[in-house]
Amino acid sequence: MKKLLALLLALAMVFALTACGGGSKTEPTPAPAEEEAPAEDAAPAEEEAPAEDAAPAEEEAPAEEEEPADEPEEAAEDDGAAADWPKKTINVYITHGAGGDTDYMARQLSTALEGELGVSVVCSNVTGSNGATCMQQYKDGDTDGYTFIATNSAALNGNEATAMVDFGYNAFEPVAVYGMQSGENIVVPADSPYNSLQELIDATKENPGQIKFGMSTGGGVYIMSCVMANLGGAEFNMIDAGDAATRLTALLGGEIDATSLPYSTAADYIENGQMKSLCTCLSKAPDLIPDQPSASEVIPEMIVDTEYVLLAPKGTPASIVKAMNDAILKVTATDEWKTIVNDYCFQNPYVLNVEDTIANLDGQRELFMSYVDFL
Amino acid sequence: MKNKQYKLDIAPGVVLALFSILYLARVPSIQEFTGLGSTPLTNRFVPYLWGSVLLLLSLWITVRGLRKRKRYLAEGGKPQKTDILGALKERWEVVASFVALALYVGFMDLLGFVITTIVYVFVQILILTPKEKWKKTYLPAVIVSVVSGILLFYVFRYLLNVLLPVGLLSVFGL
Amino acid sequence: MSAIMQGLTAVIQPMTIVLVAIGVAVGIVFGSIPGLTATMAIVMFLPVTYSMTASEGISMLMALYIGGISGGLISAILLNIPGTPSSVATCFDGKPLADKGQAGKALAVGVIFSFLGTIIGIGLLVVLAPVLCDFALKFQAYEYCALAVFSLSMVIALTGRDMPKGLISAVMGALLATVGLAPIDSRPRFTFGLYQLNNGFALVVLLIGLFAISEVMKYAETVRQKQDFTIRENVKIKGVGITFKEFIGQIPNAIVSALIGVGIGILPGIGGGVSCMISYTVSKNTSKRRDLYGTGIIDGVVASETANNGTIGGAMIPLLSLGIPGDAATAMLLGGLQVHNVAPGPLIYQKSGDVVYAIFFAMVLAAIFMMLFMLLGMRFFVTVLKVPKNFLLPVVVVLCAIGAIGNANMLFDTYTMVAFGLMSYLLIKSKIPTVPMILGFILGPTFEQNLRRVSQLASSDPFWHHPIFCVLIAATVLVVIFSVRANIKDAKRAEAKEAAELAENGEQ
Repeated sequence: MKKLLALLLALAMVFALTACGGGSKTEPTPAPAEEEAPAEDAAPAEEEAPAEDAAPAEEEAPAEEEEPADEPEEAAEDDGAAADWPKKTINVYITHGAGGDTDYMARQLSTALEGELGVSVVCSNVTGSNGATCMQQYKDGDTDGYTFIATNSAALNGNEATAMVDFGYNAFEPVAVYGMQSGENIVVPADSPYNSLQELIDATKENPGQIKFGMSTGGGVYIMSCVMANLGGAEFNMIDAGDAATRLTALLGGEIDATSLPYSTAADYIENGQMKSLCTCLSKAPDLIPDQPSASEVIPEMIVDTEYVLLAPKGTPASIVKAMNDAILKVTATDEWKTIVNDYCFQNPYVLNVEDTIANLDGQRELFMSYVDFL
Repeated sequence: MKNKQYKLDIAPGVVLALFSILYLARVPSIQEFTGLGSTPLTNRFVPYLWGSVLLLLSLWITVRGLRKRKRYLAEGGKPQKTDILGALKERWEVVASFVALALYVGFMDLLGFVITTIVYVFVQILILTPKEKWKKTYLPAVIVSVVSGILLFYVFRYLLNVLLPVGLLSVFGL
Repeated sequence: MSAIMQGLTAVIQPMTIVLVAIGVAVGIVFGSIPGLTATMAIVMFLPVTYSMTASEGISMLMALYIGGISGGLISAILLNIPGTPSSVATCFDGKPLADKGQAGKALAVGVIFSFLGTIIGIGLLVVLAPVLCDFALKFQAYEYCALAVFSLSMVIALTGRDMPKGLISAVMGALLATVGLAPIDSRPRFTFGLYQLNNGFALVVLLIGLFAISEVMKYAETVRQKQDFTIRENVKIKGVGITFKEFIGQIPNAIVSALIGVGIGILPGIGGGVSCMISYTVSKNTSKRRDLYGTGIIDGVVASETANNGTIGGAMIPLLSLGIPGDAATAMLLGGLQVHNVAPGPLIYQKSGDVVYAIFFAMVLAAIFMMLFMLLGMRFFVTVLKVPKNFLLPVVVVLCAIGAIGNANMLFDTYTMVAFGLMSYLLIKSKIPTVPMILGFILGPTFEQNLRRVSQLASSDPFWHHPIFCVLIAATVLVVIFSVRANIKDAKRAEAKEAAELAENGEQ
């Protein structure tokens, strides 16, 4: 019996400590977090590097997804599932790791939704393969309206275009696009002779294979680099320089001559006079930093608009999707939300209803899929 | 006597050599990437490298083992008999522990964390206890397994949000 | 100056102090439980800090980091299971010390030198960050490739007499690391179509399989032989457990180890798991008491624990000054800073100087709390030795399973955990050391990624433009030659000793 006492004591100590830690966390945020596979996410900024482009939509969204936004009653009637929804904890599975922008935005949204929906919204990160692991695992998840997947559109469409997965957004019930990232910028060292994307591309044509562009294979930056090389006619020496952090190191260390970096990573280096930004890869510069040229002015197809998206597993009742979207529209219409996205994304709130979300994802997917040939 | 342990070289050497051959045989089925930014050394190079190095090293210890065996026999030692079944029987606790562990993780999804943990901890405690002491162990083992199963589930599932499987307990709406 | 004051003021708020204390305590618990790591603690608590102020949030994360890395030594010494990858090398001498009834001493030494390592790391971070950043930037594909080769060559020194088996272990680690999406081009390798394998195997799962599961199996073998259940009673602790003279004697060792730790911390992507092993190896091979390493002397604990804590300060250098995270834990910290609109990078001192100084003060505070908690808790920790292992180990296994699940929130990782456990057991039975596997597993991907980048660069940028590369390759050759010779000498000596013993005891 003595043994047992000692053991229980030891157990109690371990758990008392763990539990007190756990308790402390419940007070600050309603949505605590989780896990994540360390090494591969070494750079949170990495996931900001997605890409998108416009291209052909090969499949029509199923009828139930096309529920017209202006007929809410009818939608609710068609299955009645939303009547007493939600009544228990909602689980949101985040496709990227804690600390990254996808995670941050998803958690901010969840926190806001808790107030609106009156139930807990618990976030968990299921990470890996640019979000593919999570999407694979939950695309056929519970359809009772308590399972959602938070990701970004570039990962969703990019993984399909680069054939990392064999499904696209229509393997899910899209709920809402709820934000726009601050985007990727093409950057060069400050002492570089090039001052615009056009000059840089022209220079590569004069000296083919001499200018080293740091890319990362497989992700959004890869798609963008392919667009530059195939549609912009740039003749870079394409060097794999890994994730955003490694690309930054390589540019600062002089191993590469140009690369693409998330605005948030590059901003201070630009301000400090160590780098120049040639353009943003967004279709239009972020709302709060408007004075930047877009890459699409030089290469029309070079558009990387990364949007934050909430998805539900395929088969989730349309009425619940609609109800969730309504809640999102409501909580993102506040000043609080505006402050969050202004500070973090340098953007104004950008939230779409279900119909527009589907149309938007479809447009991006089309762009991406048009490049499948040279990806 | 050092040479007597020749089997500790031969057995892993042979197993690892076979393993590395299987590994190397799978390398050609890796899809090579030849698109923009592809590297002259492809994604098959390093697997070939490690696979070959492992093969060489395992052949090295195999040969070393064979030479030890020769020397050992020359010194008048008797050949060692291989009695895998006997060895397993001798270590039944280890075998049982692995079986228990495999069943534990195997059934966790279906039955849920709490039930499998309680059963596993109880069984594992008994496995690690000499049979003659089992009688005195039952009660503490039950307490430890039930307490750890429930407490850990609560702490990690609800306070720390680890997605431990709920399994059968989901009927209680947990 | 005012930024320094602001930073100090932010940290000496009661709320911040409480958060740091909680962070350290939670970090120690996560660090000390096999399967739960410092990284996991940070990941779990990071979102909680979203709603705090920048100084509060970052202070708490730093506390978790420092507590987590330090806590690993407890289970390494008491259970022979490293609590985190950073304390693998602490087992080498920590466990033998505990077996000799000096668990308290081993713990005290570990704690004190963890503290010292942390402080040296912070000191270098504060004073030399800009200089060290330039050094970090010199490390590009060539240099990393050479560094990986150099570190792998340490395996030979680490394994001692049986070189081929040590190498087999390291190569197996590198081979396991090839499973998953390939670096650079993200093509799946050896995944057998299982998407769960796309992420590859997780270090923590391998660690659990190699050290925790195998420890249970080793115990299972002895069930019927062990009559005595309460294993060691003589775990008394006198004072802090270490004399002043011993402390002074370890200073040179500690400084070298701390510098190795900081150096490895500065270079992104290597981490504490490697730094403790390299430091241990260096310490062993430069020591006069070379033969005693591994038999339970405090030198080994000092080398490992000073280095892994030094890595913390080292890893903060590129994180703060360049915005480049050195390992998984600092990647989380980067996210934690960014959500508070603190952008690590060249302007961090100008723009968020107060937060930077708050981080420094919080680190010092956390280091102090860590030492305090661990020294006070020591008497309590050693009671773990009195817990009958037949009760303790099953619970440890359950915690490991939780750690494996929590790593990526996938049940699949528990299956790999069991597989690694089985593999580890068979390796131990074959007298193949398991520790080099960790080195191979961590460094294999670094090597591959950078080797392939080098192959891309080689035509336009030949290797003789990279002096660091050349130096490291030369050093590798020297290490290999030196270690092989030393190993052969050791083996001969050991053989002679065995023969002598044999002659004494007569043929059995």
